[in-house]
Amino acid sequence: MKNRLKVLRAERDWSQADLAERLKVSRQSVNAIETGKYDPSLPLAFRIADLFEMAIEEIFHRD
Amino acid sequence: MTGGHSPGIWQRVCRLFKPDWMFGFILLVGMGLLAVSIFDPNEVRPGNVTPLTKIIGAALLVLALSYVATYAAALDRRKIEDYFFQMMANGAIVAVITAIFANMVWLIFEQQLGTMSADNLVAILISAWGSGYFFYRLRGLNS
Repeated sequence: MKNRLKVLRAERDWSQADLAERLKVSRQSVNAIETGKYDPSLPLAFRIADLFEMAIEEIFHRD
Repeated sequence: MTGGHSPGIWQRVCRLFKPDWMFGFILLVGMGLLAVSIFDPNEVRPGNVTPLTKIIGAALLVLALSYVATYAAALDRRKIEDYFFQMMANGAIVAVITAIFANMVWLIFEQQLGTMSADNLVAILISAWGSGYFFYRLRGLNS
């Protein structure tokens, strides 16, 4: 699964630590999602979508 | 982030116990136990209970401990992030498979290595859990 997290984060000029704090997860989790090492759970995906005020499918999509 | 508040003492303490540090410690403990159990193997001691009592006792112990482990895992799942929990769980699978195969290999080379003790097996299990965690940490959960 691919995602636009890094782009969306950069657009807001947030660091990984900033995003992690907003999502209440560790910076390692954000890094793992961005680099495709980890697909977030559905609750976390919803939190990400809510934060960026977008639908999940606008952020995450199939390879 | 623009928030200027500094984390509290409890947050600072929690940050000290990061999964990477914990599993690094587990890996070292496992390796240490393995070394100790190899260089100082315990003697096999016969028990003084009947085989039936032993079987029933073992079965009850397994049931009780697996229930406690299930409860502890559920607690872990609530308390730590999904990312780290998945690495921990996948590492545990790696550990179990490694322990089974290590036992098989050890049996093949029993003449050279001697009989595998329970301590050896536990040490292999613990160190393989730590290794498995770090394999997933480096390679990612999707690899």
